[in-house]
Amino acid sequence: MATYSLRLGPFGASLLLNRNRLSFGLNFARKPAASTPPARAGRFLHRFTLGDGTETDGPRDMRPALAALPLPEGMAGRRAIDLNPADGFWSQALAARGATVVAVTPIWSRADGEAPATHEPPDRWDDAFDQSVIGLASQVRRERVAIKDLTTERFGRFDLAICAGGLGRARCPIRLMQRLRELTAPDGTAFVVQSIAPDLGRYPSHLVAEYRGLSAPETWVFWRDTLERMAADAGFDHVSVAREMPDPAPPEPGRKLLLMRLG
Amino acid sequence: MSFRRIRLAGLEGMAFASRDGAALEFAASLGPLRRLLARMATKTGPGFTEAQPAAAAEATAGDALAALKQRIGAINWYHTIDLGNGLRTPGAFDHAPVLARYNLPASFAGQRVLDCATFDGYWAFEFERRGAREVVALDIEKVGDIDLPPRRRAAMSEAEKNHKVGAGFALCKEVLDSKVERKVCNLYDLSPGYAGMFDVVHLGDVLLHLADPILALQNLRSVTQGYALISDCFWPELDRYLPATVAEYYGGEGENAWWRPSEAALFRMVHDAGFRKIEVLSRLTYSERGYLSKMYHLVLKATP
Repeated sequence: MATYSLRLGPFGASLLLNRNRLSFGLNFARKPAASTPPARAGRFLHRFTLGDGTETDGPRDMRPALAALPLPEGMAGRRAIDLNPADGFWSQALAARGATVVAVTPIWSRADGEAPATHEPPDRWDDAFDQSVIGLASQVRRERVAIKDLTTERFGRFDLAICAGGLGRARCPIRLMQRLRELTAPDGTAFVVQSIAPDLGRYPSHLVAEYRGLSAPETWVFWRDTLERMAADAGFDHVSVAREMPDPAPPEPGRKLLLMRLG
Repeated sequence: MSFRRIRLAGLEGMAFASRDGAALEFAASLGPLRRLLARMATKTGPGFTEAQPAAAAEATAGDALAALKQRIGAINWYHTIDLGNGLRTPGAFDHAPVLARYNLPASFAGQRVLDCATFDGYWAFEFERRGAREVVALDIEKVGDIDLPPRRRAAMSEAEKNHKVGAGFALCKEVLDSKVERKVCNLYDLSPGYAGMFDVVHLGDVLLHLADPILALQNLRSVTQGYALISDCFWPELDRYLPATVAEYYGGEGENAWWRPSEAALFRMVHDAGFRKIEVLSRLTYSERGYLSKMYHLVLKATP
């Protein structure tokens, strides 16, 4: 690929030549306006109702997303895994439906075992999680495991798997998506709930993701089509978008919440 | 954000607009022109050698030379390596014409050097030639150890997955009478406990083939005592997403490419691995044998 570009202030021009295509483009990039900083999470990340009836003060109200996801109502006797559980919003929802839930936080350590430096401590949401599953504790087991130990040998396979926000926080979203597929039973269903940046889709011929770095609140930010392709490549035969809706607590303007159903 | 495809005078185009910007782009297929140029192009050019699989070995005389030519011809080569006596392996990539542009140190005298993902060993033998005290060349054991997409892995036979790699390295080591030691290790498993620490660690043209390039870089950093030389591909057309530092997802397709990073994304990954000082030694392009289009490379010197 040969590429030539010129930028004068907000205006740019580019000429790209690769094996099959010659492209010429003009673009204009406005300096983004200052945005309202996202609401900071206190004890809880999500806004939901605890077992004792109290409502949490979390900035992310995912209850509309929960309503939009085609989760089965009765899950008695079924196994579910919640990858990246945080304060337990999704684990609570699955347990309330009767499922036996394993809530797993993947740890992305190096080969020599050194744990990663993250922008929040790994036990940040432990207290909140314990509160969210009061009354449901017998159905819910919480674990933190190295990504290499997130295996079917250790956990078996699940009738339902959910990964909410985990792909954006993963050092390797490809690996996490592959694990999601492996942990989902052949006749099971997985759900992905992920904040996306539609703006990354402005050149649809490129399936891109933005790499923001390991110390950023979001390591990766995706475009919808990139996640769909990643899911298909991980081995899911059926990939569908259940809903694309406004992000309830967008980290920046223009973000959407993607709900994907995978099977 | 709004987006619309346009067709104008046989050209495909797209228009995009959002509150943060707008873009208009047109593209034309080069397929017919490329086919014509490919027919007209000779097999020499930037990055190519004159050697062909059968002509790589100029026959002078001798059964030994003929036998060596036969052994060379039986291997699928990645690197083009000068074996002397007019013999050069017919690799997909020839680094010799662009070697000076890597701006590498002229001497590695007294240093312990690690060459990761050595393949046929071009770089390992080059470091040895430049006086390294010890060179360790790391690579996987077999094809199945490559970061393969699940479906491709499932479709491969056990024989295909167990096919050993390293035949080219072994042949070159023998012919060159090299002291370079080849060790089997996946980059994802590399740690100081494996082979100790190194004054110089080299990684070339590997990151794009990895689903988890950041882990590989972190492990690389963990065995780096002096500095790392990281030369890998980047895609400058992704600069149009700036200030977003993007990588294009490729899903393990083609030549097993997973991520195609922009220069900025590659920089950020190297920084995140724990390298605090990163210098650009070179930006260069070269082509794979038989292809007209060039691949952009960044050569970095990264110090912990």
